[in-house]
Amino acid sequence: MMRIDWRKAATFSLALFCAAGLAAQGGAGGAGIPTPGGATPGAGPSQSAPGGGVPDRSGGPFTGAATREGAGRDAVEAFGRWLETSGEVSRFLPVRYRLLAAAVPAIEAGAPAEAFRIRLREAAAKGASPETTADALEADAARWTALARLIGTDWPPASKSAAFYVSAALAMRNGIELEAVAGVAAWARAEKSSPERAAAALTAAATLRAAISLSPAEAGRAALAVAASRLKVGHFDDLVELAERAARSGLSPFLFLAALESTFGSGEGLEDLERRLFPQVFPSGR
Amino acid sequence: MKQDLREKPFGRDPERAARSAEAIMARVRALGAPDRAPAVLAFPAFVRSRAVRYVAAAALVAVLSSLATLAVIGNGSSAQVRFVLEAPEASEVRLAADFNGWTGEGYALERDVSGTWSITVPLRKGASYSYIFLIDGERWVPDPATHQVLDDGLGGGVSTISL
Repeated sequence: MMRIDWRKAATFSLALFCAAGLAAQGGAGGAGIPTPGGATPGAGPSQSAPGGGVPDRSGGPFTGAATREGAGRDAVEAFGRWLETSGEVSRFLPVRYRLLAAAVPAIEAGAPAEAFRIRLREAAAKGASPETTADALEADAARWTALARLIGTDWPPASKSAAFYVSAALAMRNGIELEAVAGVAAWARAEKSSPERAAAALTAAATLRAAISLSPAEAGRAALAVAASRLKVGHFDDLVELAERAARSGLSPFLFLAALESTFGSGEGLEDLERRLFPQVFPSGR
Repeated sequence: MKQDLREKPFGRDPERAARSAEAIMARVRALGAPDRAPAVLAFPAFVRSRAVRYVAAAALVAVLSSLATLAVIGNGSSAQVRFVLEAPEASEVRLAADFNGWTGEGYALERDVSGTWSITVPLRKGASYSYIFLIDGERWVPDPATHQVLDDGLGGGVSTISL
């Protein structure tokens, strides 16, 4: 019989898996789900995360700052080259210097350059004019600069950083305050929750704000309550629909938020919130 | 010689050992045991090499692990999401989203006889996604079937979905 050295085989397999995992991470910045047509989904070039890609844990603050600065400079240069040469965003060549000027401080602060690429691809897909795109990117860059300075470069991990920053900008553009975004990020980091959940909570809070006219401060509280709740991300949209139903029945945004915080804060779920909001429909409680 | 063997309790006279082994083999041959080696030892030399054995074992482990991973994925970490748009006048509709790099490449919707366009996309659960529909390559609209439309900063709206 063939003799197999299982210990060495297991070591070899582990090495194979690590290599496969690294290859997969480097290739796909997006969801990594196969497309229905068989095309390669999203992502494009792998993210050159400034600072966030390789967190500096070895040296002192000076070494870390120097490393981040170097990584940021590299990322800025790579982004500039991409702006000049990429066919997919060639329509934005007339405003490339505005785009680059907006991106430099954000990338140097630790925002991922890939977030700019994602937004530019979105603008290209929508056929947005160069001026409108530059305006939008300048506003996003300001948000990302401030956010990166608040949450640092160690979180989210490099492979998920761009998606989080894009979602954070979407939330801030739609009325969630910077401090609330940073608060949700700090919660996710402390609780080891996923950046995807944090981003989804921010998006849900922005949608809630639009749906029932929450104030920015209230929407920020809602974001944290939703993120920290035991609700699955898949139920966040149901929460927005419940809020709309509550608003239609005459409940004020303030009371809805109070019920939301009270319910989720005590570890209860969406059905419990519905019971509190509509006691006439569920008279017997549980 | 005997003195040596006594000093080494586990020592053995090589001539006696050879005779004993020969006698055992003679008895085995008398029982009709086949002269040739078992089939497993008849593989070519390269199959018996150590490297090939390691690769074979590694491949086995990899296949088993992949099957386990697929089982986990199949158990609910992704969802089939159907995107639908009523656009009878359109000649082409694509789904552009953050999960496909906003290109719409490979995400053409299919039209039914009533002019309803649809596509089913596998998406990972535990995240929210942004998307729009690109009509005839020049006009884009958020999903009219959902209220969850946010300002995209580019002069329009973007639909979101949480999974």
